[in-house]
Amino acid sequence: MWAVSALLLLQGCGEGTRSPPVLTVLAAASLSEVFPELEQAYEQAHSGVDVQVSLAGSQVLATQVRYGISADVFASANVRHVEELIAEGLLENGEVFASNELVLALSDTWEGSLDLKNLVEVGSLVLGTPESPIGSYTERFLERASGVYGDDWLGAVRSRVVSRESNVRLAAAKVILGEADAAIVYATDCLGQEALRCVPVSEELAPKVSYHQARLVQSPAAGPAMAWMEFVESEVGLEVLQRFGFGGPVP
Amino acid sequence: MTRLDSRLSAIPAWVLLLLLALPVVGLVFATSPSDLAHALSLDSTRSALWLSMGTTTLALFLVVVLGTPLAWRLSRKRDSPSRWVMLVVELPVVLPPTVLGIALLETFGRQGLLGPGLAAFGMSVPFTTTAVILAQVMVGAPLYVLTATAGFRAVDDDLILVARTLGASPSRAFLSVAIPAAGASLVSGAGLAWARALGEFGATLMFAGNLPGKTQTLTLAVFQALEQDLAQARAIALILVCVAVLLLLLLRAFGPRSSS
Repeated sequence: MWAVSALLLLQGCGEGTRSPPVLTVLAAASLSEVFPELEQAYEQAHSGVDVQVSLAGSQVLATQVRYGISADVFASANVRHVEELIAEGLLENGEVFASNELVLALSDTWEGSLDLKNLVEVGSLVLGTPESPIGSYTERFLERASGVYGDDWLGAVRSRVVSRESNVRLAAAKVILGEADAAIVYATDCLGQEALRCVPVSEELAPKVSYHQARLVQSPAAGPAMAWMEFVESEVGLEVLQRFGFGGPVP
Repeated sequence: MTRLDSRLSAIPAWVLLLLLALPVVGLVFATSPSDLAHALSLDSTRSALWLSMGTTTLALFLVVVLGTPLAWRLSRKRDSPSRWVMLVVELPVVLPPTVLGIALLETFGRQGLLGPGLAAFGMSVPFTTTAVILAQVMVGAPLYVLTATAGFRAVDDDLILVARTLGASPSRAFLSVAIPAAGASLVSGAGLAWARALGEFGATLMFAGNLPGKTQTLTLAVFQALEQDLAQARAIALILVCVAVLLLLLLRAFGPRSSS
């Protein structure tokens, strides 16, 4: 419902005045800090273009694209939503532009151990919905981990889940607020969060987290859209992404 | 009304009427019977349906049991303190649900006002079915109390007095005279409170989280389905529309007459 109403609003605003050109970028929730920073850098380099970043869970943004939102670029936290939309003829070909890592974020009030195996000890665990990128990465991680720690471990972990949030920031927020003991989030979500203690997921269990961007077929500002994507993938763009904890593009 | 008046008022009236009716028509047209069958076959729909029925029933029970005495007291007094009490009762009606969500977290949450106290008894409210019910009570109770208070105000003091002089105890007089006299308002208030509880979304999402079978009510199920299974989202929405229409028809039949 939010997706639809947001779409109606954006469409309403999008019509009419288009001077200076507006570039609308739909960005995954985990890009909440870095994309506004990229926006500023881009606007300084390309005066006259007004970039607007719209943040939500990638699956919510994908729904908005399906409903015909007037936007130019979609930056997703996984390849799945981009590939689906390409197959539906709504996106041009996508490119990977950044990577991230899965971490276990524990509340600083949690006094237990910081070992992943002891995930079963936490009282309450918050995950993303299975449709959200963070939720699907988490499912893959849990599946692999159950191969190591056993099915009983997996069952015990699942019994600790108290909520499934629609994007990674909402999941992290429940732990930052102190309402839940732990959440599985991206490494970048931990950056600068004093209320969180983060444990990386070991490499052999961790699914590869990659960010993909693509231009909307119906993009009203195709030129600036291409320029924006090039900028994100440029050395300057990569530098900003790395400053916010993201890794370079790993295909 | 003159003919000119009626023509002048017809256009805005129709505009608003269409605006109110069209979205429901759109939903009905978009939803096929197979969508409904598909949605009802899904565990997530069924568990949300049962959870919503269970929690709203409990919430309504709490609202009526706790709200009726409050409404009665408010109806008998018109002094300054009771006007302040009225303000407290009305506040949740005008507050945005997300504000209620934060307020509930900051009160019953682990880091909230009562959190440490509750934790001392081994209780933690957020992310539980109890949290769902609390949010529903908070949004539903004001509607019941306000309607019930209005109903009780119409009950003549003399009626109670007569019952008392005939030997009825205060509670007997209340139950057998005041309650039936205000019955229509009580039913109508309960219906409104239940509908509001069923529709609760924002506060539930923030305070109770979203877990199928435990805290994912019908409105939350619609929200999540929208991201994955549009047919399911539409079908649940249509079920909620049917429930709402049914409720309104029932209130017409049993609620206060339009004149009162």
